[in-house]
Amino acid sequence: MKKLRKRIYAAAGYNTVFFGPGRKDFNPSKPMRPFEDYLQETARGTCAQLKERAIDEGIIGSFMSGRFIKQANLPGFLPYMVPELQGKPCTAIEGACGTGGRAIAMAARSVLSDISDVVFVAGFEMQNVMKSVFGADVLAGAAYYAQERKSGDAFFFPGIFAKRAGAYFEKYGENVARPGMAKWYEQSILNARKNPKAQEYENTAKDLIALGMTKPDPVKFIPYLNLYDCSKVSDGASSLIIASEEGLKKCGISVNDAVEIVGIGEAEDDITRLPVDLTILSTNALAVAKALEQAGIKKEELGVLELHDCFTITALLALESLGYAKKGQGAHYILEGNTSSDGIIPINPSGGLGGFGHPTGATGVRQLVDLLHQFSGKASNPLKLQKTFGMMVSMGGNDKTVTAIVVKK
Amino acid sequence: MEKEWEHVVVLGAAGKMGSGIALLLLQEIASMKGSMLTLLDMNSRGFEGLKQYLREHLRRYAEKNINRLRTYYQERSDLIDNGEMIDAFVEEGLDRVHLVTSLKECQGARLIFEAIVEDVEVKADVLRQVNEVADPQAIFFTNTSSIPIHLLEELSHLKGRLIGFHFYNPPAVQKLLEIIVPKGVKDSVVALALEIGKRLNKTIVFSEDIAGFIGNGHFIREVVEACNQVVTLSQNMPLPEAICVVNSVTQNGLVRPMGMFQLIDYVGIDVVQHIAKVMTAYLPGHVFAHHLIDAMVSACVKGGQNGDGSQKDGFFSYEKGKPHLVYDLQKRGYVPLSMEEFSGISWKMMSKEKNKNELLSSYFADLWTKTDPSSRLAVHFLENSQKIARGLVEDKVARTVNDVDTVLQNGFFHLYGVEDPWKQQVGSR
Repeated sequence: MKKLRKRIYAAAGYNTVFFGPGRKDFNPSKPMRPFEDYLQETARGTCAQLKERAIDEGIIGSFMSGRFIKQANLPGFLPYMVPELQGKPCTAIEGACGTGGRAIAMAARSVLSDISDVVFVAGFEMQNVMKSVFGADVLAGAAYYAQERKSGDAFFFPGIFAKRAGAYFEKYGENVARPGMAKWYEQSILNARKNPKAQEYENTAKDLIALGMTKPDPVKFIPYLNLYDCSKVSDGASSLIIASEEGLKKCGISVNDAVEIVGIGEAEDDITRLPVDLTILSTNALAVAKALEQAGIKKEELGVLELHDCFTITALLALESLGYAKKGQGAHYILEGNTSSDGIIPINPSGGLGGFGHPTGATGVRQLVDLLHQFSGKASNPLKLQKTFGMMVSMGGNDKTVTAIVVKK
Repeated sequence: MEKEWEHVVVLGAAGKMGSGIALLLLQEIASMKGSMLTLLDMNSRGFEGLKQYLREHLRRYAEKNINRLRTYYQERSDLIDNGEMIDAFVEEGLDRVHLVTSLKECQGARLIFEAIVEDVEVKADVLRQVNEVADPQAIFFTNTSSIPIHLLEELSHLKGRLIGFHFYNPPAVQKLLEIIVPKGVKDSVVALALEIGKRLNKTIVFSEDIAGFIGNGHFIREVVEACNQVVTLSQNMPLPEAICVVNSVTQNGLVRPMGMFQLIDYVGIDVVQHIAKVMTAYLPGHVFAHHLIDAMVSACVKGGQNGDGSQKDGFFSYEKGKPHLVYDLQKRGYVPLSMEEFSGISWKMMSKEKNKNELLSSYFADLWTKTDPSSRLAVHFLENSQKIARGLVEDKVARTVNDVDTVLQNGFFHLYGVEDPWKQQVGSR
């Protein structure tokens, strides 16, 4: 991986609340905020941080807006969100739950190729528009639907990762893994409780470990995973700008309020092929290796991670696949406290997908916004960061569409 | 599919209980190819609402049981999505339903569920007519809450083929089912009844065939006691105030979801009067009528529910589901509630507690020591409830006090058994 040909930055990020059943005011029988609200809010939030709105291009990411809100032609919403984009190049990006990572990578290409100095990037999803039993059908489009949906579980994606969990339990033992997954759940909620935008911000449950240890119910739900292992259905939007050095100047943003993107690792896996080893996230590993190589650093130099924990088992597998924990030691690694806010590698101080929520199109963008906030002192859950590098991993589908991004303070 | 399920009938299907029973049966029948569910009601105007109700709730049932559906539809390659499977299930289920007004349509029926008006003659007449066209081996289930089954059996010529299936409201949600088997029913029929009850996912309690059975046997006797206490108290305070006191004491004092008079309003004052009348007629030597209940019905104040489930005015007038004003028989109008609410413990709060038994134990122990009139009244009611329960067992209506508890805890949401309050006090009394 060659080093990036010029300096590019992420700046001026804004996350809306990620709304869903975890929030106190969630009421399915009352009308909820429409998608336009979320788009407007995130755009205003990002643009308010620019002295000059010198925006050249817009990119918007969403996974299944065509089904959830029956809305496509999303580029058309960029000038609606950012009037300065009227008449400018606008593009929609899709990569399932890894949409955000892809959107950022596309923005980076425009800046790196000198096409644009400043790209406005947004990601969003509206999932509460339908009951989860129907939303499951929509989200199943992140896998090879025609071949996998029929034989899949009612709650399809939890079922997919339940299979990975099952394989892991078979190899290393359920009673070894389960406590680690429960601990991960606890960590997600504890972090979310410090983040007013997080879906689990108002979670007041007393014994999180007990909840995380709940015995899975294969009759009512799926085998191997309980409800606490799964990130919740969400509505939400996130945005930021990707800019060159020149672009930051034009917008009046100080480099201290930005983070430099020093590595972008992108990897795709054939969606029609089943994973060779269910206990390994090989595409994740590949993308991360590329990003670290481009950044010219080793993973030990990373001070904070935003990982794609759509399920607790995913986080556990990622730790092993990325080399933080030895194979079979993922749970142990978490239980030792290594991934908590005061651990050796704090992960998802924002709450992650489990705590913040997972509006599929928004998550990848949200991860970069949260890294940016950590390094620019704007995070609601600030870490005492000693290292100057951070990394996010945005994953789409069952380890298919992966973007890893390394940032530097 | 067992032969019994080939043709199932619900009589009075457009009614409150009938529609719920229809839904319960439809949830099972929806996946039985070749089964027919005939829903009969004289009031064809109720069919539109009934169809909508069945469609909406069958859909919800399908959504909740999606895992079962995916297994059920495994061989259907045309059904891939959850949405497609739920749609298919609801459509196929509704295709098995026939809405009719003529008793002739019960031709060949094997299982007949009766949920029509609580009137002996009408029930007997309809059952007799259906029996003429039904399969000779058909078994009948009556939802009567108080009429002795053997009486209906005789009048409708259904000897050995009629069983009491007393559902609670709403049948599709309330798990309690009182099964009443009159003398002379074959074991195989009893087994069938039990199997059906289990299939419908019910908590089953067997009651002897004595008017009122367990549920109303306990409830109506408590109503009489509550009314008697009001009359006694009204010697020293206005009647409306006495009603408030007894209601409050029997709610928070006894840790129940509603006080006796709010409960009477909920059931319907005229319904209570009617049940009392039936029980009086069939339990020689007992009188369950009370002039207080009769006076309210005569004044056309009947309680009960509106079509949308909201509470109608009765002893109380309601605001947002809570008693707001109390009826004054003398003034023939509503007056403000008396301010004195018995503190006790809220049922709502207690029902969420994990260690109920401990908390209730200490509450009752403490209540026992109090000397104020309201606390003494609460203690009296608890003792009276015990007396009634023990009486039901002595009279062989219920087999055990445990059965009475099952009825009260499931059907009436009591949080403790009738004998529980005094477990601590044995020895100190």
